[in-house]
Amino acid sequence: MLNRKKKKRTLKIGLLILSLSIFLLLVPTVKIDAARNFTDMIGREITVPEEVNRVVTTYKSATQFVLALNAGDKLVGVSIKTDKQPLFVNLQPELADLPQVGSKRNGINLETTMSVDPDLVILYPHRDAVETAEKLEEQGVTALVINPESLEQIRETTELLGEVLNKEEKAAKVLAAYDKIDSLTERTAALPEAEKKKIYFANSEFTDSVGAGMMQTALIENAGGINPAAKLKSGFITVSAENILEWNPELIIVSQFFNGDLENLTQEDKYQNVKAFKNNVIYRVPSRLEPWDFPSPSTFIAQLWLAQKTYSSEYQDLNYQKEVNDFYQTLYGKSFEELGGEF
Amino acid sequence: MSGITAVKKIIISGILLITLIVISMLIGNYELGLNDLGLILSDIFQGDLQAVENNPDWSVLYYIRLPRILIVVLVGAALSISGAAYQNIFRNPLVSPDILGVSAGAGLGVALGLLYSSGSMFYVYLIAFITGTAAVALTYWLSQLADGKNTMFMVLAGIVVSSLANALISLLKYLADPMQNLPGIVFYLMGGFSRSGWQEFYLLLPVVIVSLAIILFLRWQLNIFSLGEKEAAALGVDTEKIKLIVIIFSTIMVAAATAAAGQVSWIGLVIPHITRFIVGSNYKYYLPASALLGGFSLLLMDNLARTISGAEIPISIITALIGAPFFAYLLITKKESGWS
Amino acid sequence: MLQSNNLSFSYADQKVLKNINFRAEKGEFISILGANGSGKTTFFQCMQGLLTPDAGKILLDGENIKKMTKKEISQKIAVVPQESKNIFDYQVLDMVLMGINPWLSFAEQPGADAYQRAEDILAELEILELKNKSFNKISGGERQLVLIARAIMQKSSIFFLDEPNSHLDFKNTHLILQIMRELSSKHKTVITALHDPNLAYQYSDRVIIIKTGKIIAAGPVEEVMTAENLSRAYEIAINKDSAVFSLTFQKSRVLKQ
Repeated sequence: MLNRKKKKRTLKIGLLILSLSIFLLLVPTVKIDAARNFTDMIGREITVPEEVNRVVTTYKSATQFVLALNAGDKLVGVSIKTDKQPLFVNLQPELADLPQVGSKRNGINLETTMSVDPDLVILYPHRDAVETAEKLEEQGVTALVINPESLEQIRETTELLGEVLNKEEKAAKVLAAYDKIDSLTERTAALPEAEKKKIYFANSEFTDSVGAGMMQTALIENAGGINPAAKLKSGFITVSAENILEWNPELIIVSQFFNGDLENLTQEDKYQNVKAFKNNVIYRVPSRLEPWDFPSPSTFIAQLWLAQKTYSSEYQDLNYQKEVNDFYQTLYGKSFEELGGEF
Repeated sequence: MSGITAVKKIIISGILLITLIVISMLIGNYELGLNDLGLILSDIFQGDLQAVENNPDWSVLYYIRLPRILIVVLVGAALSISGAAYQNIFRNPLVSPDILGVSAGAGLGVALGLLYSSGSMFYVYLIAFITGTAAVALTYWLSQLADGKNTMFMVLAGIVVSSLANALISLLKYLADPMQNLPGIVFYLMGGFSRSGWQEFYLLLPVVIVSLAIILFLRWQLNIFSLGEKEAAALGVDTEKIKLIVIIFSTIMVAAATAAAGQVSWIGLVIPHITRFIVGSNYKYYLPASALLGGFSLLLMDNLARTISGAEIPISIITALIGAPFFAYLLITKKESGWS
Repeated sequence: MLQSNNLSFSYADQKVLKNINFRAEKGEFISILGANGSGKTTFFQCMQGLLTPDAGKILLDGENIKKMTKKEISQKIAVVPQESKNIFDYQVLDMVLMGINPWLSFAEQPGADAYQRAEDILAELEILELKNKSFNKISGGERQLVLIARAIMQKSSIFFLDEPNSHLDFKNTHLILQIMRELSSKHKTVITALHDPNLAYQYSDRVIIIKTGKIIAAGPVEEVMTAENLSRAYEIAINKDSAVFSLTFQKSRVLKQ
C-alpha cells in the first residue's frame, strides 16, 4: 500500500506524463466532517458524519437491514434487482425507481454511487470491498462493510447500523423481536439430546448442504433439531446420497432458492426409505416475500417456523401466524400478510 | 484505404484515441458536463485550489474516471501489442496473448490472493503477477524438455499449463465460501476496471511502457521472424533470443494487465487482425497501430461497461459479445486480412 | 572460401551425411545433384551453420563456423529459399530490405542508404516497378527474383540456392540461373542444389553428386556428368552416349513445356 505522502509524489509524476502540468499543485486532500468513530465488521476504523441522511446499499441484505431499522427514507441508491424484490416494492414502492449501483456479485459502479451524493455506502463483505471502500473514502464518502453471516452477526449488524443511522431505539426493538423468537423456541431447544430430531437442510441442489458454523445449522439447533451434516465439516458442503440414507433424517427442509421441484424430489426411488420421505415431511423454507434462509433481519422467524414444523405437538398453544405477523409488524411496520406474504 | 499512407493512418488512430479519451472524461453515470469542467478549469486558472479540492465533480473526475480511462488504454494497448507480437513468433494469425498460459496463471493468482491474503489488494496484484509469469515459465520449461526449438511444443505446453491453472482455479472456487469469497473471485476473473485507481495505474504504467518499448524496438526483427525461424536465422536474426525477449515482456505485460483488470478476452486476438487489415503487416506500422487501436477499442467497450446500466457489466462479456462475431465476420470474408 | 572436412550428420540414429569433404572457391558455380532424400538439404543446412554436425569441421573463410554467430555467418552466406507465399504479406521493398539485417546491430532499423540500395538492386534486376506491390500477389518467378535481390542485399560472398527452379517455368528457370551465373562471374560463389542434370551441365563450373549421404563424384562438369555416375545416383538406366545425353534430356524437357 502506498502511503499518502508517496501517493502525492507519484501522482505528480503521473500528471507530468499526461502533460496536465496545470494540475500539478493540486493534490486533493479528502475532507471529512469528523464526527463519530466506529469499527466496521471487517475491522476497518471508520468515521461517520453526525447525521447520515443519504445511504446507498450495495446488496440485498444491506437494504433489508436499513428497512428493518426504519431508515428506508434515507436510501438514495440500491443494489441491482431491487425493483424485483417483493418485500422492497411492497413496503416502499419508490425503491424501485432508485439508481441501482451494482451488486455483491459484480461490484459497484463508483460513478453511479457518487452521482447520488451519498454520506454512507453499506458494502458487502468480500475482498474487493476493502478496495472499493478506500476509493469511496477518497471521494469523502463513508463506506461501511457489514458481514451478517451468522445469527450473532445479524444481531451485531442490527446494533451497529442502528447506531450509525441514529436509529438506536428501533434497533433495540428489532433485537427484542429476535430475543422473543429465541424465548419462544426455548422449549424445544432445551429438549434432551435423545429426543431431538435430525433435520437435513438442502441448499440449491438436494446434495448441497451446510456444515458446522453455518447460520442454517444454528437455526436448526435453535429450533431443537440436529443437523447431521454438521459432523462432516464446517462451511458449505456437498454430501452424497449415501450420507443422506445413513443419517436417515426425520425432516428435510430445502432452501427457498432450491432449484429442483419438490414434487419430483419426493418421488425419488433411492430416498424412499428415509424417514422424512416416508412421512412426506419435506418443506421449502418460506417465504416468497423474502427468503428466510438467507441472512437478513427476518432470518430469526425461520427458527420459529422450523420449530413448530418439527415439533407441532409442542407448539399447539402457539399462534404461529400471529407471531409472524407481529414480527414483521415490529420490523417493517406492517404485518407479514399486509406486505403480501402468504402462509 | 490504400490511398492513405500507413504513417497517416497511425496519426489518425492516435488522434482518434486522444479524442475518445477526452470524450470518455465527459461521459459516465455521474453527470458532468462541459460547463462543470469549465468551472473546474476556471477555478484552477484563478488559483482557487481550495474550491477545486472541495468540488465533488473534480474528485469523481480525478480519482475515479481519469485513472480508469488511462488503465483501460494501457491494458488495451498491452493486450493487442502482445497479441500482435505473438502472431509472428508463432507464425500464426490465430494466436492470442494467453496462448502460453499467462491469463490462466494470473487468474489462479487472483483466486489465491483473494482467498489467502489479507489487507490491501496490492498483494492480490502481486500474487497474480507472479503466478502469471510462473505459468509461462513452466510452459517454456516443459517445451524445452520436449523439443526446445519447436514452437508447436510450446503451444501444446501452453495448453497443458492453462488447463492445469484453470483446474486449480475451479478447485479454489469449489473450496471458496460461496457467499463471500466466491462472488469476489468470479467477479474479478470476469474482468473489469471498477477497481482502477491511481495506485493501480502507477503499478501498471512502468510495466506496460517498458515492455511496449522493448517489443517496439524489435519490430524489424519481428518482421523477419514471420518468414520462419530457418529463413530468419539465415538472415542473421537470433531467433531464440528474439523469441525469449518477446515472450518475457509480453508475459509480464499481460500478467500485470490481468492482475489489474482480470481476464479480458478477445482484444489480443481481434485487434491485431483489424490492425493488419488497416495498416498491413510491416511491424514498423503494425505494432504502434495495434497499441493505439487496442487502447481505443477497449476504451470504447469499457465506456459501455460502465454506462449501459447503473451497475458494472464485466468487461469480458462485452469484449466477447463484440469480439467473437466480429472475428467470425473476418474469417468469413478474410479479404485483405494480410494473411493467407 | 567455404570448406568441410569429414563432415558427418545424423538425425537420431540415422546417418544422413557421411564424411563429406567439400571445398568452394571464390567465383565458383557449383551444382549439387542427387536423388530425393540423398542428403542435399541437410548438407546445405550444415554448411549454412543451421545444423551442427556430429563430426567434422566446417570452415568459412578459415574460421570454424561453429564458433560464429548467426549474424556473422549471414554476413558471408546468403540463402535463397524456394519461392513461396508468406504467412503475413509484406511489400516487395520490405522483403528486399530484410537482406540488410546481418549488417544492423540488435534492434537497429534500416536507414535511408539501405532503402536506396534495395531500390538499386531491384532496378538492376529490372523489377523496380514491383517495389510497392505486395509480395504474395506477384508471380512465382517475380517472387524468386525478389528473394535473389534480398540475397544480394546481404552483401555476402556465398549464395546458397536449394532447387531454386522447383516452382518456376522454363523461361524463369533460365533467367534465375543466368543471373546467378552473372553473379559468379563477379567473384561470388554460387552453390545450388538442382534436380535437373541438364541445368547443372549448362551452368556449373563444378558438379558434386551425392548418394545416401556420400559424395560419389565431384569435379568439373565434363568429368563428373557421365551416364555412369548419373545412373548410379538416380538408379535409372541412362543412355551411355554421353555426348548426346544432355541434348536429348533438354529436348524432352522443352517438349513437356
